[in-house]
Amino acid sequence: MELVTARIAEQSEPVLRRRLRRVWKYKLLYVLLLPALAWVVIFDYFPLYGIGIAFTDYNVIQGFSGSEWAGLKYFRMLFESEMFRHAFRNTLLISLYKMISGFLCPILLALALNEIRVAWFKKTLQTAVYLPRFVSWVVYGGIIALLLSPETGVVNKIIEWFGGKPAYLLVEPAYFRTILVVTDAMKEMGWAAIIYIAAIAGLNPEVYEAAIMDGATRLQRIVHVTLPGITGTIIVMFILRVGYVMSAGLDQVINLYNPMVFEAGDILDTYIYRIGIEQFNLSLAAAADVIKGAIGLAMVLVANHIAKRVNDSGIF
Amino acid sequence: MKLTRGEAAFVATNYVVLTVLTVLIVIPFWYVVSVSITPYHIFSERNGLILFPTSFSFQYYEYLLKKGSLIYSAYGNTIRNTAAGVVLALFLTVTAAYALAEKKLPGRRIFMLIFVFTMLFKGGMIPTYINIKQLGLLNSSYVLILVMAYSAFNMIVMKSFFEGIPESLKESASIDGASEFRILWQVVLPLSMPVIATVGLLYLVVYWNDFFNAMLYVTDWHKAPVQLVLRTIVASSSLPPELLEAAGSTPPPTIGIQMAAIVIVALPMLIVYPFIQKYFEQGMLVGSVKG
Repeated sequence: MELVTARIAEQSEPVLRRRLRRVWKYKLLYVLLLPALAWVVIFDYFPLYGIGIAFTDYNVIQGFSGSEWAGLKYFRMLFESEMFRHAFRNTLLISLYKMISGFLCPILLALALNEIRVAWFKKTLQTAVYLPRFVSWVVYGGIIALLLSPETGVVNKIIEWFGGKPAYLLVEPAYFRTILVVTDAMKEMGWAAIIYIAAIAGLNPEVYEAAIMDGATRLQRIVHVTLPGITGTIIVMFILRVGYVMSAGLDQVINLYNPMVFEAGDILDTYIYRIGIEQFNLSLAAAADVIKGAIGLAMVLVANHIAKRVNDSGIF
Repeated sequence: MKLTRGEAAFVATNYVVLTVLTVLIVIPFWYVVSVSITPYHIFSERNGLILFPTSFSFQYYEYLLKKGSLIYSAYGNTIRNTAAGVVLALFLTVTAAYALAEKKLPGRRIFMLIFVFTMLFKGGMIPTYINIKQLGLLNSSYVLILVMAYSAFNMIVMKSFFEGIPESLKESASIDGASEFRILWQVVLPLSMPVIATVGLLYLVVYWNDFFNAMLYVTDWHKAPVQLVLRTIVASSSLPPELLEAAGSTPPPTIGIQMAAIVIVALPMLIVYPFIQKYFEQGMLVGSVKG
């Protein structure tokens, strides 16, 4: 037995040593890797351990290990709660609407901007549409509240102008999701278009010249040259978006919603915040976190798989 | 090049639609500024319809910026968090991206997996909150600097950029006896200004605009960033007690205070970004295409 291990050690030592020498050669790179690795472990991986509180009657004083095992009690409670069901449904609906608008608007905007040939005008438009991206949702939410306010809001003035009846738009469940989708598009589409603008700029100009020689109109060039050229970028952006399907826009919703529109506008993130942080029911909120994370992970894996099948351009 | 009639119509429509869209996006900001500098009696006289202010009053700004106002300390906190945060975040991102851009690094795939997995699955708000609590960071002055200091997406953008830098440049420096640290500092970084400007700006915006991490982790008004103070002013249409206390006298009408506060908080980012704009497209393209 001893003999055997000794022989194996003898044979494998050069391999091991070679490997160690390779590792040693890059030692400084490992040192460079260390700070970010430490950050990821502390702030991203440590919390994974805390997922367990969804399955226990978590007690803040005794901590995780001192808490009683609760099994699926909190998951059952969630599915019996009407408020959770609303939040779940709203998350999917709002995310879906935003996926469509937040996906099409930037592409259309990029295509339209690409057709502007006057450089200074194009540049001015770009600077202007990027603007809302650089303010927080606290700021943007405040602006929207001003515009939609019942007495002094400009939007109500316009509605009256056209003979409509003014309303306190932000407390009407019927309008709330529309408001979320429209304001999200207004705030984000300029910035989101950058990636497509950059992708279009990277296309080969010779293909355009050839298309012009063949007598293609501008619209034909967009459909047959530009769009196929940026398909890869579109698919990657779509997969990334699908991965966030369970995040319907916490920053936006928390700054715009109010109890009057919970039924239409409460999403999983705001639900988790209220239950967990405000009401301090940590186990119940963590159970909602687990559901959110698991579905999000499944969605991005499926989307990536489909993208690989269709276009051979998955992201991992 | 001559345009056919159909194409001319296409171009004209395009110009008009884009111009209208841009005006719709920008005008709310202009409106906020107008309201913030219009005296209240004119605001209500005109039913809130003020596109071009005709008479000016800075009473709202004076109120918010009175000596000892909470705004000053909150602004100080935000500047401190943002400055320290961007430096730390760029440090973490550049070092990790540079190491992982080396294709021959043993164990590279495993490290990539460790870094990318966090993009796919996170513990969630509550486990993260409990983690911060157990680390003793709740309500500390550093918590907001630390929790936003790294983003996997930005790291990947930067890594893709580094991978595009010709191997030969690094090799020749290496033959000259430069260490990896020196190659990074003296060869790679000077070539990477577009991506560093882009990623730096992304972090800058995240730090300046964060309010939610502050809502979670900071309860002491004296450590609160300015966005959190603004949120209290805007969302609850009541003023934080500390602000009232410092300002003393009865406040002017809320709506004007809200708009003036919005201008004070949003202005720095709106001044900065046009200057960095030229780097965006270069910087974003490299990362986005490769994902």
